[in-house]
Amino acid sequence: MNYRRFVLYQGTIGMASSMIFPFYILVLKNTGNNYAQFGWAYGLFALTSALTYPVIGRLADQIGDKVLLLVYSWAMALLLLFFPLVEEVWQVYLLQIMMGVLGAVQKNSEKRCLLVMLIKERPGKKLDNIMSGLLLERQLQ
Amino acid sequence: MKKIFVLISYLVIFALSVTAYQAKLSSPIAEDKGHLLPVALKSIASGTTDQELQQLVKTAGKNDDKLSIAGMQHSQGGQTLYPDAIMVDMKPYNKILSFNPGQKTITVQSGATWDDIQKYINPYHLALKVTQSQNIFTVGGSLSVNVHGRDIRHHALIETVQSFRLLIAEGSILQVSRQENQELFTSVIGGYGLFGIILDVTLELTDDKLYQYETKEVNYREYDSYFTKEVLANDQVKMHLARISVAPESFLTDMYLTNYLLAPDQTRLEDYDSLKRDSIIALPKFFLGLARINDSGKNTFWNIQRTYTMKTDGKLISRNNSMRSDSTFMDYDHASKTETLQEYFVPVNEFADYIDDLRSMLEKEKDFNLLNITVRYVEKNEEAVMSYAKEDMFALVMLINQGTSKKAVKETEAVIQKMIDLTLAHQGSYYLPYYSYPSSL
Repeated sequence: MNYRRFVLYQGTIGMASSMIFPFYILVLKNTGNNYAQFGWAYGLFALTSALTYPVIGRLADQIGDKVLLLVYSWAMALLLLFFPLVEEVWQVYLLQIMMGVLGAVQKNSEKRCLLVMLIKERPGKKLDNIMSGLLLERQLQ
Repeated sequence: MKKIFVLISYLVIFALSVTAYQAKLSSPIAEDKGHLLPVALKSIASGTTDQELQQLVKTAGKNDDKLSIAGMQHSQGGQTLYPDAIMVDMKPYNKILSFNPGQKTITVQSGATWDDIQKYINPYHLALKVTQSQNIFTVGGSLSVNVHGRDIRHHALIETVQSFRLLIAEGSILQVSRQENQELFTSVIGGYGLFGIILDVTLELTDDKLYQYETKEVNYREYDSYFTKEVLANDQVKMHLARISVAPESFLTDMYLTNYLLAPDQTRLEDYDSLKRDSIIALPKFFLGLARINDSGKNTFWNIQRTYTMKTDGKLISRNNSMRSDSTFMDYDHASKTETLQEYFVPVNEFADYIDDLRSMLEKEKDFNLLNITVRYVEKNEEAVMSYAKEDMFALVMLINQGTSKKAVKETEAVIQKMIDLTLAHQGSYYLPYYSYPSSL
């Protein structure tokens, strides 16, 4: 994967998710009947993400980012088709868990992808800056 | 090849998702403003012409479909909802058909709101005779529940209706008035949409006048004699509205009231007759929000309402403006709670004893969240078959904050059934529209 493609990919994913986000909140609100359920839905997402992150990190080295990013894109494309059909709150929880796993796949692969590219392009240079930038991004999310 | 296969499979799943979603949409879940009765409907339909509505009724007849009729859906008792029925949304059927300023009559399609009519007739210095205190409701819906308002000289809405046309189940249209199909006239008005679709209605109007507020605080014991002597006997008083406290400090004892007197100088009407818009609602919304939370919130809300109302003494207002009170500040959006209304009628001379009994009953119900009670007057009117004003009555409208869970509904039901029993014991009656809490009709 070259740099140009990577930016295009990240841009598309970023745009898609920020376009979906407001409506996604509405879906959650309409399905749940109190705000605690809303919180749990997010909690499940974050928790599964955190738990699967190290596993996927190890996998990424074996499988490669391209495959993982493909898995992420297609799985998300499929998953989102189920959101309009959700009626019960447990279905939301289930989807949130799957999204949590996929979220970890995406975050892991994008970082690995970027690092690999950078190491190829300018080995040994400014990597510390990039790393702290990535860590900061992680903190902010 | 592989790519095309993936793409095609995705498109197939996409199409399946869309169809499944549309199937879900085609049996929409609807509820009325009480939010206690979500019902899965077959569909929601509407029409803007007689022919469209007629066609709708005929097709439903052929397919053996049930129809329910809906306006603003504030009647809260599920009258506008029926499982697997087609709900006819009357709101788009809202044209003003004819207006005769000389004879003071107007003919409107039943989906028109009071606001639509007020905007239309205000430039001619005419006003409605009877509406609710708020103007957001449709004419058809208001007719179906035979509303009353704060006017003490005109009473139930039925008095002001000259005639209407009714689309009946067979698909034909009947002219209904006190002369033609008289039986339908008295049963359709206050008939909850059970007899057919009210198409257009001819209403009597009256002159827009300038009123002057007169405000006063009274104790509930003095209220009925004050009302009879100072309000009813004084023909300058045209409208009247009172509130009785639900704040713990003065629970069901303190009252304040507003009389709308005919202003001495009617030439000043021009200065006051532009229709007011919704004022800034942040403050009343905030204080009502406090009242929902706890007792001290209720005390604050009551004190502020009272102080504010007492300050309006002497101010001037046009009749049209007095019949378009704010209601948006009462809008309430909560995931597991809702606000419902109840209305009880008690004969004028029973009022004080009734309030005493109500107080001793409600003081035991600590969890019953009663937010507001307004008091209006209705004169005996038994023209409608289902009449609430069996004699001259005070009408108490209660605003109740309650949960939507089964348990919460049961708890509210227990209290409300006690209140209804109490009302009946005082020769009173209750208004049917609201949620089916009463154990019998």
